[in-house]
Amino acid sequence: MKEISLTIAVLLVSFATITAQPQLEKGNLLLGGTSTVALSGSISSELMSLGFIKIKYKYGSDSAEDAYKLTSYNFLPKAGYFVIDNLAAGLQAVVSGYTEKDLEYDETYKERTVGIGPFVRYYYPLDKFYPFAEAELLFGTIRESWYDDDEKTPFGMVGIMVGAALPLGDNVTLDAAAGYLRSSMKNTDPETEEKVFFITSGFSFRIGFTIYL
Amino acid sequence: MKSRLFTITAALLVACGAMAQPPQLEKGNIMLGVTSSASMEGSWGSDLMSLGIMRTKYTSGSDSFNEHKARSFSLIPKGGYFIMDNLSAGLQALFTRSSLQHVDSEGKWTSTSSAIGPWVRYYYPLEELYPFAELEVLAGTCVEKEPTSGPEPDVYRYSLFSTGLSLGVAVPLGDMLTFDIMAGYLRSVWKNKSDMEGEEYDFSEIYSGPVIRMGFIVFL
Repeated sequence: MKEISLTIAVLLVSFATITAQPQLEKGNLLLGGTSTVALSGSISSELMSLGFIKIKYKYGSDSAEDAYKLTSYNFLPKAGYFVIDNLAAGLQAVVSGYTEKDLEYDETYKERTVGIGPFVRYYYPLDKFYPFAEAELLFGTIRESWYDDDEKTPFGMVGIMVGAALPLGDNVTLDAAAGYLRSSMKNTDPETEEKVFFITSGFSFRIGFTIYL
Repeated sequence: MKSRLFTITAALLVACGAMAQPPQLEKGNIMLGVTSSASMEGSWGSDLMSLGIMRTKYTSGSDSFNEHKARSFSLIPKGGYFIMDNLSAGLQALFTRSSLQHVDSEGKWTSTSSAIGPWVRYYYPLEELYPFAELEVLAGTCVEKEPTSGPEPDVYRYSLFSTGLSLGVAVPLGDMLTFDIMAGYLRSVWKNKSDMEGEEYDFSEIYSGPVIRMGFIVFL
């Protein structure tokens, strides 16, 4: 872990020596990928991906047998607008789905996550890098169906981060941010019909790219 | 789904209109991105690197129960170098570790995956777009440990070998940035040794099929 931290630190210092100035002025756009750190699930690493995958099982030297057919997609856009100089506000969204069909028993499991929410980021631009503070909210539902059961789980997420953006050119920064995230998913106990919340909370650190147009 | 794809295509055309100076595809330049995890299972998020030190719990009324400590780390870098004009080659890597431990228990579930592999991409630059072809290979391991009632956890070891061939288009969004759309065929094989009635044998789980992906690439 220490070696990884050192490598990242060296990379950050190297990037800091590249001088270029993304525009943080009113009227510009900010683009990125929505972070999914605090949400569990198989959400891929691209801004968008769509896959039609077949899973086969192979035992020893036997020939491979078809086991499952998967369809998965995700779309994780984040876009903002500089409403005044140094202050961007916008929306982030998570749209992901997963369908798994058991080819032996002809049963299908489906999961779909849809979430959207606002974020606001304020930059305090210095000479070589731009410290920032960001607040974000995300609300949505996870819908699962299995056999004849269909379950809807609403969720909410809130995050407060502080970070620094290192310019990599006229319209890209490498962002490192640390902060506190909390997500909550609401279910109903089928036996007691009481509301049950599944809460995830804690510290998060993340690095990603932000685009300015 | 079709209407979504049309919307995305329309957004791309608008983005094309916002084009600035094209990125340089010349020998000596560097490319940076994020490793694709489209055809592999896992919760690796959308960031180049992420670290979470979280707690999870259930609450019902004023009661809270089943509290766990959850730790996760992922690093999914992809870097390349233009070894000649229009041809870049490099490495992509994936390192993830996650753990889950009940607050009142010693036992901890952990999963550690690491993989690395080369990729090569050839651009055929046109005036406004850069079509490209990309070949990628990723090899690595995954180790899962599950607590048991005894002192030693159950350990499951898997090896991963993934290959992909994609065709795509890069849309310049500035002098150091492209927005990439690519479609291709990916195949991942997870292998482990299984035990059935005392006899050990090789077990493979094979994921294969077409994948469409979109992302950003940074040129330095």
